[in-house]
Amino acid sequence: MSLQSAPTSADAVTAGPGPSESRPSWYRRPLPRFVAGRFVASLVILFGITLISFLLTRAVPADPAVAALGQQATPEQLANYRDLHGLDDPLVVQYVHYMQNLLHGDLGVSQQTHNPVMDDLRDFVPATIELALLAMVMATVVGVGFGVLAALYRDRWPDHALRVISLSGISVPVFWLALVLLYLFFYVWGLLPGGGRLDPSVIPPDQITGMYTLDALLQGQWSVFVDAFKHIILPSAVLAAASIGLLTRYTRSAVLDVVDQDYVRAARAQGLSERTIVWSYVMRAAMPSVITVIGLLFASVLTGAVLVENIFAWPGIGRYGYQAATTLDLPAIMGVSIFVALVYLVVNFVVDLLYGVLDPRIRVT
Amino acid sequence: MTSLRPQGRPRGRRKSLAFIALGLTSALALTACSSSGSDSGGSSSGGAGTLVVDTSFVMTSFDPDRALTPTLSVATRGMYDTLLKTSADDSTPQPSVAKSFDASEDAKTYTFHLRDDVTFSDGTKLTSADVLFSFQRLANLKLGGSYLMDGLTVSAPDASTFVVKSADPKPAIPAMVSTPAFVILNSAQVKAAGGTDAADAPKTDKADTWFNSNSAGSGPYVLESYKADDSITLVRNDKYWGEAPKFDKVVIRNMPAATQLLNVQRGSNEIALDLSATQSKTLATNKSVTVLTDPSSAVFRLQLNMDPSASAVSSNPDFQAAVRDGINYDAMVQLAGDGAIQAPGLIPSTVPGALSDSDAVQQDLDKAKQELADSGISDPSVTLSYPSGINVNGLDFATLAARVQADLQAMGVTVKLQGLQVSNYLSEWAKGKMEMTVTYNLPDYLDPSYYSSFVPGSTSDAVRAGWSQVTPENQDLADLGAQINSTVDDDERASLAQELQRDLNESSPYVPLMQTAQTVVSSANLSGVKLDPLWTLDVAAIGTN
Repeated sequence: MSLQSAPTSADAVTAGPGPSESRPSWYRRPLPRFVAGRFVASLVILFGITLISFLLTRAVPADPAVAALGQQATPEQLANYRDLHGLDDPLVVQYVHYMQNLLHGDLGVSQQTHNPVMDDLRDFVPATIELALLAMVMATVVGVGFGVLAALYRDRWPDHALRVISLSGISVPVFWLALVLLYLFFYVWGLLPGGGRLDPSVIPPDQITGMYTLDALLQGQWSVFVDAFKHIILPSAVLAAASIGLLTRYTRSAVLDVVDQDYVRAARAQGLSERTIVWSYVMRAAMPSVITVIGLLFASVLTGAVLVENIFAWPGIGRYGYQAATTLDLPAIMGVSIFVALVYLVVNFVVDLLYGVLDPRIRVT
Repeated sequence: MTSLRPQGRPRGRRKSLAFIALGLTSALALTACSSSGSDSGGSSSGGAGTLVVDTSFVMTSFDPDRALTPTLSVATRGMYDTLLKTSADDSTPQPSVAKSFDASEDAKTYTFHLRDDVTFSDGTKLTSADVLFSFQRLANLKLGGSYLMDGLTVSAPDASTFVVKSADPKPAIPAMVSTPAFVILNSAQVKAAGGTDAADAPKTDKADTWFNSNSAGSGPYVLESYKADDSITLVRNDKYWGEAPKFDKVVIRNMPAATQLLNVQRGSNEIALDLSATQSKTLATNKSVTVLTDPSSAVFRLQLNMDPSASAVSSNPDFQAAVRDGINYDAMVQLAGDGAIQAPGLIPSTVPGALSDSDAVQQDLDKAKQELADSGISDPSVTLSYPSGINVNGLDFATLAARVQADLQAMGVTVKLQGLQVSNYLSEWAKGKMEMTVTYNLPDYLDPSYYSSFVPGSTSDAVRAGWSQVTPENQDLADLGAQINSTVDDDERASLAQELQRDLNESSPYVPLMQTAQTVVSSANLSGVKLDPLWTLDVAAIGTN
């Protein structure tokens, strides 16, 4: 049933067009209205995030001038630096100035790399996206597969084994797993590279997407693709480990909620094949909640790769943000905060849309 | 049991399982197909032409006039030249771009005579105008290294002569012009990129970002690429005027220490710069690597505050003496690991004027307790601040602070530890109000006069210890500092520096703790790997056996 009810008889006798009729035609269509509403809400949230991030970075009891110039800086040099970067201006003036620049696509210049923050993000974000995408492919294929398998074999040995595996994936510290895999696959067996995105002797492909594997393929550089792919396997596997554990548990739970439903029994009674029942009835009903988890996991993987990126020397946004925080690089901290906020907003938005695609019952109509 | 169809093992279910298995197989295939490559990674396929240096990046700018960090020093040594040059084996400045220099008897004027065959990597001839531009830009940018130009005036009377004058005698000038801050830039290139040496350089110099993708030097290498937080790639400078470097390419990578440890054992032509003494110990029997442990120039110290308004406790001379005599120095050295030694004074063994072991203060608890009683402070309590989350040469400040706390508490002093994130710590440091702190010092140039900044009245280190005022009580120390600065004879200057340190060991806010060691681990096939106290590593001097 539509959320927008049909007009009542009382509405029908009211003279003139009602409030809904006075609105543009796109507004009366549910999907565009939903998209527009979410877009406006996202802008408000984004504005709030810039304000909170700005205030928090300024509330830190440390002087960015000293952080940038070091122990030997004289009071004159410090004053000069503060003047140059507007650090002595009132907070409101600083924020207004920042927002003016932001609206023009200018996130400021990183005090650490001395590059425009926008350029830095353009360099670092693709590396993290590449890592997170492969991690999520691994996590989704393995985690959902394990979850379905565990549900189908509920309370039998495969279920027990997979629950132990998923619990291990969640419990094992990321840095420990990273070092162990590095030790085994790189040092002991020599099967995979140790760190970084490419071997030092390999020239990176020209930047198209910034994702080395994809760029190498697009440019037909097969050897570069192989080298880049070897480098990404270990970090993405480590990043996927915790997500595999979570997805296994969520999928198992979601499938179990559905398998005993009447409509599943009815489908079976009608003689439908088991494959059709699993994929068209059970999975379709179970997937919305799993998709929610995948969406949130993707966002957290994308923004939470600090440890993995540091151990594997992966030049992504996590490492950049970590360095910015430790050096009190305010423009870079703000840039990373805004990026993280954007990721969560976009992912939540996409997840909401996917709900409707996967399950017509909750489609916004 | 819950299953879709309880009885038997249905055909449909087998299909489902087969489909799932297919998915899992695909995932595993990702690993399998890649494993077949069996590349040991790191630098192993780099070939004889590529040298790989792994280090934890400490970078604030790629512009050599804007930043002085160990990471940048390695790259800078490869890309740029200085008027004079020191080496890992000899801290005495030797000819480089300047073939010789004359010093006036009063050590106020130094005249450098330049070689006429030096060219920059773009083929432009290096002249004294480039040296003048570089030094003036360093001074006028008013950044971290600009203080080195304080009191100096520079001129270029002709294309091959460069003059440095100082209002006061400055015998350290040859040592200073051999350091990373004083590299010579191609003035035409830097100006074209928006650089300037004018007085308003802090606001008008726009060349900063340009240095992220270009080098403007005359050294054996040129910058090929710099990826922030990731890697620096240098390639051979075909127009280099000196002996050609052994490796065609040098890649400096940002790697955590744990990964460095694995990389250096797997690869060849590889160097790891940040392994702790404990990590390097695990390599003692590994024949594929060479472990080099040399004293670093880092001297750790405990610093109290002389300003009574900052602390009535730490400014008390008897309390300071009690702290100095109450520290267990042997335990401190053990914390720092193999190769570390007790610091007998503020000057490290890599700099002329260092004290000998016999001058080192020894723990004397009875004496310390008596001095504490003499201080007249009942139930003394102090806050000990330290930078948290960082370590230098494998030594963690939190561990060091906890050790100091244990020693002082054994004497009856309550010590409250205050770990501060590095940025916060530096902010507090700049205020000069910290009651007590553990910190360390690395010299910007290898001359005893550098350490005159510790005497009362100095504008840098002494200010942080609340010792900015010269009083009748500390006038002698201030005079001795001035004398060190102006003494022309090297041996005499070193001797005066030793006298100063002995005086500071008697009464001062400084308690030297230890001089750490730095470990450099390299692939066994490499030769010429040496720890340079100023530049960390000279990559151009490294070759293969």
